Amino acid sequence: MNKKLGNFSRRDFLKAMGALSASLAANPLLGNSVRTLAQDVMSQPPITILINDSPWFPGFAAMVELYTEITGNQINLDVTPFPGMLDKTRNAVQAGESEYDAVAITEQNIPFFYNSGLLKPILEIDPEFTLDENIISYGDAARWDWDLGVNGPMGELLGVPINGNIQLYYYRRDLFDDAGIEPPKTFDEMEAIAEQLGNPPRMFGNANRANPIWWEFGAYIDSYDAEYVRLEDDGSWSVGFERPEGLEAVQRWLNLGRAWAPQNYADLGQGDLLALMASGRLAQVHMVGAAAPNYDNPEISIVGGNMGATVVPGVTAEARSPRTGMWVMCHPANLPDERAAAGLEFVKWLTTKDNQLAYAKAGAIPVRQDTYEELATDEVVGWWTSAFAESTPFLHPETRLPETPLIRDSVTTRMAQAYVDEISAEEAVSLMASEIRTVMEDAGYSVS
Amino acid sequence: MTQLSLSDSRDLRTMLFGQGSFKYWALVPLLVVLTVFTVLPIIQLLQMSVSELEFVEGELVSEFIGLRQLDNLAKDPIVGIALKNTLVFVVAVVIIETVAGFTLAVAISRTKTLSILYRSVVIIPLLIPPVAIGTTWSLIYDFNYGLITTILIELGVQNPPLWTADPDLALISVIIVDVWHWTSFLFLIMLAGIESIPPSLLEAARVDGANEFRMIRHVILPIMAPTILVAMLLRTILAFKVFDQIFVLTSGGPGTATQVISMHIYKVFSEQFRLGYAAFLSLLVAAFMTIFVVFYLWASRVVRRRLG
Amino acid sequence: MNQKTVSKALLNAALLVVVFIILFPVFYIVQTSLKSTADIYSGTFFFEAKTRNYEEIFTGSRSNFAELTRNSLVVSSAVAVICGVIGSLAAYSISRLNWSRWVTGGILVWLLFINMMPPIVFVTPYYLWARGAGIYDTPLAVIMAHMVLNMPLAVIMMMNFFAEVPKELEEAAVIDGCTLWQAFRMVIIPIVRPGLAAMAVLVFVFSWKEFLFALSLTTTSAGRTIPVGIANFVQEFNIRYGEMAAGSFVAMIPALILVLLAQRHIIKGLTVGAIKG
Repeated sequence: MNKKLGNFSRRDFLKAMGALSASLAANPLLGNSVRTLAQDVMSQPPITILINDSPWFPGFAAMVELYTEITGNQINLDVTPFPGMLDKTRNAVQAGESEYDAVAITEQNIPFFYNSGLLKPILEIDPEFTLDENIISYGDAARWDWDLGVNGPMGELLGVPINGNIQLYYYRRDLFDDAGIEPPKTFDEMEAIAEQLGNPPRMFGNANRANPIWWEFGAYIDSYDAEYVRLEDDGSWSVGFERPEGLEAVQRWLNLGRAWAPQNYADLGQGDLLALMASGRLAQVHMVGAAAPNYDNPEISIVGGNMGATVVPGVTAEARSPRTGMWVMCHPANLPDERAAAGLEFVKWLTTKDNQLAYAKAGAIPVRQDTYEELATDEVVGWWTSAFAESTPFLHPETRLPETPLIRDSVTTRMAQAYVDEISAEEAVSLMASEIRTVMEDAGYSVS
Repeated sequence: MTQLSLSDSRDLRTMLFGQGSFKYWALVPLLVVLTVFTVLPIIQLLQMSVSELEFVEGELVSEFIGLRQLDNLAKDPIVGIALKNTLVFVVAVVIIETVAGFTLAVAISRTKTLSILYRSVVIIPLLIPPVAIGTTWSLIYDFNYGLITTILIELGVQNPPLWTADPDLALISVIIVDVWHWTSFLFLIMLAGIESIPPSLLEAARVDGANEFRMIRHVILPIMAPTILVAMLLRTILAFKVFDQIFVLTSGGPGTATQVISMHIYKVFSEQFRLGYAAFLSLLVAAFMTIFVVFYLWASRVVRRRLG
Repeated sequence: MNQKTVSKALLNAALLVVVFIILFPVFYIVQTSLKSTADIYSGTFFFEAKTRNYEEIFTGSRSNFAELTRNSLVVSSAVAVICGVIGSLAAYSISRLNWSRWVTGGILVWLLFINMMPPIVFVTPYYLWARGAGIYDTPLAVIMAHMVLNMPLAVIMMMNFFAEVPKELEEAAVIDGCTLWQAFRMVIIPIVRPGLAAMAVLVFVFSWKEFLFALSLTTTSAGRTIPVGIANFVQEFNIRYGEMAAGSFVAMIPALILVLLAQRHIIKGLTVGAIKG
């Protein structure tokens, strides 16, 4: 496997994509389905999509090219740096008429855009539309329950998932095999492995993302049953840091993040984790799933072929709680219907099973369970697509409330302070508890 | 300012007319720009600062809350830390860069053959976008694969510094980057000031037998004082708004060691979308700065009188 | 004489050290631009130089740096010229032509005030204007925003340089029969040319680096400038250091040449003007 990947670069990837589209047309079996699809997609006006540049962007761009080639419909992309996405989307939806026919919205911005009424409900664009049941729900990310002010199964359809990013646990399969270790299911096992394989400064046992401490930490908090906030059965909201498990989760995070990590643990971002792992200096890491294809790219990584991935560990194997960090495609409310329809047409095309297979092979992250299952045995992407498929039953969504940015501000600040001992873990927990309670009460939620 | 003495000129009326018209139309373009592009946004900002704004069913709804923003300010855990860090940062970089910029300007103004080399090199840091500066320096500082650590370890240093990962060193690391980046700003203004000094003045001092140091102290510095003070003022305002560079380099961490006020305002405005509170904070900082500037202008007048 | 040579040599030696310090990170950028990401991550000194990053920024699917560089040059030069003209005129009027203190003070305070505002507060209004005026996603929209942002710097700097010019000069010119406009153009401007050059260079530089408005007012490479292209390499969870370094380095060169030429041109005008005067 390693040898096969030896000279595989992104350029080859795009070549492969070209070959793929050619073979799609040539292959009588696939060709038929593509042709059927091409017939289904009617001629549409040119559209503009707002999308961020990211490691999965080439996969998205390849699909856009394929769509244009097959259907003849033109798509322009506004490729924007990630930090600019929020402002650009917000500006566009406030103008007289949106410049974009479709906008990609990252999971943490879902509550703001759904709750604001700035998006066109999907059924207003196409009354016949149904969300394919093979598309993973990601905590009802597509729907907004106006009564509860959260995502809910009965909510109105406002977007379609287009990128199924989640957290994964990555490990060095070669090292694990040599030491006869099985991938861990619990934090205890993770700590034991860090102790066993760690040999600084050559090899670090574990490292956590510090910049900021929020998304990955969510997998700890949720696993300890101490979600930042949670809607209880009686309709009131509870604050996780007010339960004793909140402190345990914090202490576990601090220990796993510091004890076996490089000395600059307080300054590690996702890029640093990727760098440590890709340069062969980290034995295991809990990080973003969409990073997986990077490890097979010889331009970036020297560990291609030696990587394994599985579900992020938890307090117990049953309580594993990897978080989702996916993207939905939405259509601004300030769009004429025919433009929104043209945008939705592409999204429908993109999320069919066959096209999701091509999407994954081009380096993007599919959103369909059947796609993941079919790819689980693939010799190039199988090592991570199988972990995605395996993770689905354990997924926990982001904390999706309009107030999440304020909760996130409290958590990232206090956890950052605790990480470098500006304040103690106990102080951090009690500050977060009271700050989150204030946020919720000020926003008018009943807090138990 | 005294009136120009025009009484004995030949065609007084035309000249007055000419003078009068030039005085006005020279200012018109600026006033047009300011009126068209700044008045309305600032008025909107004032309205926002006493309101709470929210999107409801696609419409931006504003609710008057008056001075309740003060409650938000009291509850804000970051703003105090950010102001403190910003002040330390501003004072440090302005002083260091002014001294360095002045020294460089005096030194380079004396050179002949290599002058063009120096002048071009000094401009280079200014031409690199701040994001690239932030990422480049984060690579230089990085503990695991960065340049400095690699060199120090090769040299046999046991515990190389952690730079941006050490809460005690992080702000200093940020200041080092800023000095590298922005000293040229002060240099360029001061070099222009030095080059505007009539050469005859310097010659006269030289003939009088003044040595280099005395010439700088008694001739160049007094003439340059207003320019230096304006350059420092402009740099202070700029440093107060420092953003991209720190955002990329440390994102405010570790802990809260490099949180600065403009990053906090950006977060409140963009991520939290609390338009009202962000407007309030912006105006608060601007008011704070205005007080500082007024004080500064008063103080600089005193200094100029002493030197002059 | 001998002592003078020694001190000259010492001065140059010290300045060469400064040059080295300034250029060190720039060398590092060049080195990074020739590395693969795997080599950057390993932190090695020894690596096989590759031109892949340069190929990527000019031919890759993500960026067209040639277009971005062209836009940047257009935008920054235009902003420098506009701010230079409007700023000098206004600064001259304010600082020399007997306005009441309320007018000059008011304008000065307003300029300082808008300069102190975090630029983010202007983003949404300017976006809506640019859309309304039909100049969205053109260099013109970016020029408009950068002009406003840099006007305070231009006016305040020029006020300072005008204040240093002896009053007798324009009085003499006026007595000789010049109008104030002629005195301004033929006598005053030549004297403040170093200052004007410094101001134009700084305005150019600020426009050259600006990111927020260049991003918000554009959507394609029809209007985008270099900082936006560079920022695209800072991605959601990793940084494409190599391409970013290549982009920063490539973009620096035409700007540097332009700035040096412009500076020389403006300052050379000084001697010509002085002889005329």
